[in-house]
Amino acid sequence: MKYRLFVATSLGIFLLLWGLEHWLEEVILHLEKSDSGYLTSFLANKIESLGTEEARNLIPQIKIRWLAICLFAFYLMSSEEPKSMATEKDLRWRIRLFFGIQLVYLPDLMKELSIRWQWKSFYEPALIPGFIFKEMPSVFFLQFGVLFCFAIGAYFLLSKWKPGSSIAFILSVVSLMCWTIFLFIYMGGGNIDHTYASMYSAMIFMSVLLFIWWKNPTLTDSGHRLFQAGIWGCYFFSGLEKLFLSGSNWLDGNLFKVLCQSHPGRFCDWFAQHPLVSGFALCAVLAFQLLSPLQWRYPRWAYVTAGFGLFFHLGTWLVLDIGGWQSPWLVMLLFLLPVNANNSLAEEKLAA
Amino acid sequence: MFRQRLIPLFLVFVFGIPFLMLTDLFPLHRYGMFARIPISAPESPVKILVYQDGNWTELSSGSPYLDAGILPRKSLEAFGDSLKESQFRLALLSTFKKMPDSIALEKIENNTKIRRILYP
Repeated sequence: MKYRLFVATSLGIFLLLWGLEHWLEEVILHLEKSDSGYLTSFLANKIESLGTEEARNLIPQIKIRWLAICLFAFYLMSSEEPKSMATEKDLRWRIRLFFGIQLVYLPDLMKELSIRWQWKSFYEPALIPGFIFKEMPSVFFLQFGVLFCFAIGAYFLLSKWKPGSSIAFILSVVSLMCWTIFLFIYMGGGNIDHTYASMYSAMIFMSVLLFIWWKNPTLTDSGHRLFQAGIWGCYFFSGLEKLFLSGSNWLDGNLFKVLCQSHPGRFCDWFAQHPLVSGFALCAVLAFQLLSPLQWRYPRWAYVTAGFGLFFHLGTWLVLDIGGWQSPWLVMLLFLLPVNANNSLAEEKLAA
Repeated sequence: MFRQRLIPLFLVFVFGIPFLMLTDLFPLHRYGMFARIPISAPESPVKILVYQDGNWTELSSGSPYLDAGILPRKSLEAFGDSLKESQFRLALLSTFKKMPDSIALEKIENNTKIRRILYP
């Protein structure tokens, strides 16, 4: 009954969006002409940067995107729980490791924030932080925040905390808030940088996992799957974007040379000169990203996602000079692996 | 059981709203920025200016100052993406065949020109 209600609501909103298309076009026209108010001018600038024609072309996408989201939600809600369950000991160590990894990347983030502070006249706050941080905060504020966050990570790594306690959840939320502020400032320093994207996404779901463990321990395994979904979700949604924004162009190896204009290099040029190879690589990337949600139903699909993800990130480093071996994306792949793989294998052997 | 099935909706919410919004309303979720094959090389809001004989002029492809006449577009990208100052400065200056009197970056913000001198 609830599924039917969900599907009916989704279709209702889809049809509503269809009817609102004309209204959305009016909004774009209004925003183009408007120059008052922070929010309006921000949106107007964004619409302008998209270009009027492009913005209008994207309106039909919103409807299709809504359907894609609903189908995705339906898939997640309808899939059965996997039979294997994570043990408390495994999860506790996984959480320790996650916060321990933050200790590795915080000094690097501080360095990046300091560089941005030196160029503070170029600071452009994004929409939400623009209400709070209209100007770049002081170095003291940034250093204090990073140190505070470092202390929380060290607490999780070294102390004897109880996962099912409120303190673990509260500290994870405080850490998440600190990272949110840092990344808001980090993004305000220039164009988008995805260095910490999957790590931040995992951080959101880590707080949810600790909340579930605190309030309803019986659902902890679902919380852990959600935490993993925060990582593979980044791949899935970037795959969807490739499909929606580039469409079939993404699979055309002849267009690889356009990427090389932004990321020149010897390997990129080689790929551009071999459209069959580059076309295959682009197709494989899209396939691995779009298939990543299979992990929700089949936990061992993680080996495919993590293995391909490893080659993908090392490949973008080699060919496009994006990321690198030290990227947080690579470390996050580790958390996709099922925690109890050895136990399950042992059980299967016993059963056989 | 019902609560268990509601958990995934949180996942859909976190990823779904920025996905529907299309643009960078949420600064931590700009999927489109690394998904699109660009039609042309990206334009940078930052200009490179050179000062010679009492005049500031914008650096362009084919400039006699540049080695092989190639505009250091990657340097501009480095500026926009990671703002690694030392790397950016080195990358930019290394593209000059001969040095003008001065090199600066300029960005127009709210009808105001912001200029930073890079060289000397």
